[in-house]
Amino acid sequence: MIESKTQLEQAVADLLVTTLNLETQADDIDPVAPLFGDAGLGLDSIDMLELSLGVSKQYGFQLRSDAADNVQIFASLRALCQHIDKNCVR
Amino acid sequence: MSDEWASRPERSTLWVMQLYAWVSLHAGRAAGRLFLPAICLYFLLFARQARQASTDYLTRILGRRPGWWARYRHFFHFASVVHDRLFLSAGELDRFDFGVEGEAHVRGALAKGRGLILLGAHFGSFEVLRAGLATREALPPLNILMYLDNAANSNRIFANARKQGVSIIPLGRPDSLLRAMECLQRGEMLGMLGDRTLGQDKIVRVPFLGEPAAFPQAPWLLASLSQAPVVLFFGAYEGGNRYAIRFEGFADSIHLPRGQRSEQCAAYAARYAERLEAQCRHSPNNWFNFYAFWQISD
Repeated sequence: MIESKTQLEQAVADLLVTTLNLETQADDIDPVAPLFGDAGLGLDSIDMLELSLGVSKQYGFQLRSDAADNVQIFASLRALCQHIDKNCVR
Repeated sequence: MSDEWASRPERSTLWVMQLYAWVSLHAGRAAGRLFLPAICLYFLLFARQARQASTDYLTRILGRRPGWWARYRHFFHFASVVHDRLFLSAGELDRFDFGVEGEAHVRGALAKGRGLILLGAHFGSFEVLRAGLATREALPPLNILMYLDNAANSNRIFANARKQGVSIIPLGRPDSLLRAMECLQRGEMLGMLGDRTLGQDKIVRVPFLGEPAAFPQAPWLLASLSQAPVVLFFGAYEGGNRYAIRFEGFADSIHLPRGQRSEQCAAYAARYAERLEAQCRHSPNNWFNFYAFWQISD
């Protein structure tokens, strides 16, 4: 059973699918599933880079590698969206 | 894909190795090297998987099944390079005799101002890369993308690298390549290896020594996203205290049009594999992927 998504989570899920050319449908992405690694969405490090660049472009702030809590920020779609919500300038 | 190579040495061998490293660093390189034949013999007899991988590789290179002596030599090169890593990472470059070829490719590529990807392989020594660049005047900072599979050693590796002005970017974290990208955007150099895949990494299959093998797509994707030029480097061990460091121009910039990405990645990977094969033929005992390289599944 997939948890329901907020409006932002839906938008970022769409961005995720188009940016990374995923075969998964945006609706099928579980917002609490891990993004990176073997479990969950199974994104690799280059996917994570492309996702970061995509989010930065779309939401007008830089995701940066020197943020201490990146493992937390990139943990799931929900975590990423909470971070976007806090930092978004658009 | 396989995480086979990432499997750790058993605890019992780990402390023996740490003891050996300590003895070598205190007694010196020459004294440490006295143990190498016994270590090679031990691995040759008991490390079945590594022995099979070496046999498979040498059969392809030599065109016939290798004897024990050929396999021993292969293991001896590997053991020597691992042993020298102790001294290289401690900054003791004076112990070695480095020949450097093609350094002009590094300067030429850096002049474009878009950073530089220095792409190597598990071939010879990764650590000599710094040595190959160390004697030259003002170059931008060097960053190294690498797997740190042993937490106990990580702090030492970071500390050693920092002392020599090298930053290590550990692979396997969600922001590993984001950090690599930022380095390139600052015009810095990024060293990485292009012949191993881990976990979810996207791969392409291209011919290598007569049969398709899996290579990662990440170097080409990173080069395309950052528009950084790519120079190949190889640090072959040539016996005694000699290393031959070779830089080769590869691409001024890499373009991967949408929809043709994997085809284009395959084309770049095929050219890389061809260059790597040429290096293997030139210095056959420097190939250090001791696992079933041609049998990685999707």
